[in-house]
Amino acid sequence: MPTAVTASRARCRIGVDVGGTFTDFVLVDESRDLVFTGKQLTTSSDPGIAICEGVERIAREAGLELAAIDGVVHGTTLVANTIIERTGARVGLITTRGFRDVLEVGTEMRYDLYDLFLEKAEPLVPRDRRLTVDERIDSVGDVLQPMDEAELRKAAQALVGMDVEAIAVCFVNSYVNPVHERGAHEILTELFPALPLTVSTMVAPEIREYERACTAAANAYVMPLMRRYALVATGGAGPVHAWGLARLLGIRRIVCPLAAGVTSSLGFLIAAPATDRAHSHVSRVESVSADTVNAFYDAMAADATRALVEAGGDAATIAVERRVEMRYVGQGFEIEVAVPGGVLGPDLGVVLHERFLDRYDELFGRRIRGVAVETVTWRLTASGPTPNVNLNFRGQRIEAGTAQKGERQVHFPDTGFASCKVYNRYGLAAGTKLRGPVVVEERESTVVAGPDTTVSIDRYLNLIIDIDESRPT
Amino acid sequence: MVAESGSTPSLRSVYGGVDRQGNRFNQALFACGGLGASHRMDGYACTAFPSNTGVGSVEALESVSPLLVRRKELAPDSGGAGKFRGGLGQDVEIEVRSDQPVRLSLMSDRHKYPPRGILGGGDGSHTRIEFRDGTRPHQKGRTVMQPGELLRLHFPGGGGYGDPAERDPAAIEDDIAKGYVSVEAARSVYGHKG
Repeated sequence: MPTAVTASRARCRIGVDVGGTFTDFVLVDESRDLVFTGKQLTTSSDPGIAICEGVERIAREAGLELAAIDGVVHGTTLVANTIIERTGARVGLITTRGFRDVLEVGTEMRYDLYDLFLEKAEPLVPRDRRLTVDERIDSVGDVLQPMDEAELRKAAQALVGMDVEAIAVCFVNSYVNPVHERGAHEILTELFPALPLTVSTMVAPEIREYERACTAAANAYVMPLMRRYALVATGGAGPVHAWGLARLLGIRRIVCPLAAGVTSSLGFLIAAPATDRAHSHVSRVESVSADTVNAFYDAMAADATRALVEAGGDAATIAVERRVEMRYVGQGFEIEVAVPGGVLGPDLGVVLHERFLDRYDELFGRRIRGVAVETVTWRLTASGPTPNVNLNFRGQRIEAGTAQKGERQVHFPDTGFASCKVYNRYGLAAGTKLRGPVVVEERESTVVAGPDTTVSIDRYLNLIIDIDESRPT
Repeated sequence: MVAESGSTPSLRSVYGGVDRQGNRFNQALFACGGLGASHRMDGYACTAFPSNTGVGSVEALESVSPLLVRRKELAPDSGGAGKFRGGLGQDVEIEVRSDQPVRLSLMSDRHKYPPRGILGGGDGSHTRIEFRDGTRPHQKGRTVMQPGELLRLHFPGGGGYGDPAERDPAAIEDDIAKGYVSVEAARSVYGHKG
């Protein structure tokens, strides 16, 4: 049992990744230069239970008081799983009259050119729960037709009558002028205060109605359900199946880093904290107003900085990076161009035009003069410094010479049952070489290497599996 | 085996002229009809075939032209009836908002011969292109649209597969609930008793 240590100036943090099956934990203790890992079964009815239990447990195992933990960073794959498995909420979607089917019509493309029987994903909201409201804003933000508020109320009531659990709203051209979406938000919140509501410009204030409607619908789809569904994840199972998959794909080497089963939790601690903002503003380069751009970039930077500071960042260390998506007028898709730092001057349009021509030339080998160029979406990423985490797992290593735990029969598809030595990963020193078949157990996963392999441990304690060249196929 | 598709050949309309700021523009509307049904399933609505030309967005089109898209929606009853139903086509309505006339170039087929169904399946809908007052431009030619003019384009649905009488009643109910097929068509074409 390690002795308890008190907090010092060096930080001690825990990363938590809630997956469908397991909740993963990584504790990085900078004062002792140590990393600890752990896993709990996800408590799908209330993921918080597993998080609290896991945090207490990993702190205990590291010999730390909870008060010594400076921060916990948390993320989850539950949201992505919910969309993939279609286990989300019953959503209703309200769009502009004439655009009921924006979600279903989509890009009108097939994901496989040669499969006559391809199966497209069903829209997140079926047609009977998609209703429209009279309203229209044009591409420069002018209101052509005010929103019919009575109709909006009627649509929302009809959706509630269909037992929807969340409502999404996406109006055409709301990215230029969100006044109707904001109005809808106000009215619907007042009408149904308990009903989760997503309006498109709050989650994706960007041009292109299909993508924005999808984002709004997806957000509504996962909003009410974060605590209600059990889901399946594959995180810790990777090393179990890697050997079979590698053989199938003709890959000859597999690398299993230490703590591979909890990489997402570790990633939370290693990644620089960052947040993105976007603002769509279609304008020809020659008429881009530096004042306008400075104004919205200032607002975006302030908003992003506030978010990072609220998450524990230091305002003085936050770096801001800006890009703008540009295209030749008439093109349907854009390329990204870096926006100069600092306050933008009157030469902004000229600078961006040159940068666009250079970037276009780099990508497509052409420099087309005399064709008008325009800006579309302006982006900003604010990020804090990357934490300097040294991966040293010796805190959970056991004594060398105690590596082999036993022996057991394992069935391999081609060769049948084979007797496998079972090793404890934390007892395998750098430089160790083993001949397959072997099973290597670690806290978050199990590595299985077939009979046609050589297993070695490199100096970073990565476990490398090399598959013999003359393997049966 | 797959019935004929509503986007083969594809209906293309190209709009050109001068926008309200005096800038020249030239834009094509990319949109598709419905896929034909197969022995396995209904055709998908509004999907490119056999090309795979993706469509832009209405917002993108409006941001670079003086056009206003009033409507872009699935066209009920446009898919050919059958054991498996043809994919729905769509109705698009485009209004000219510049104070100058806009040149319209059309390349369209399936006005006379709709996408055909197979093995007892019904045909998809015909292409229809008309102005606000019901007059029709030449299906393969250039026309001028005056400021304020509205153009209606119907992109045909795909052909059906097999005898409509063999269609799963649950699929018919679902079609009615979602408005893919009207109650009247369900009664007359599928013999639905609802």
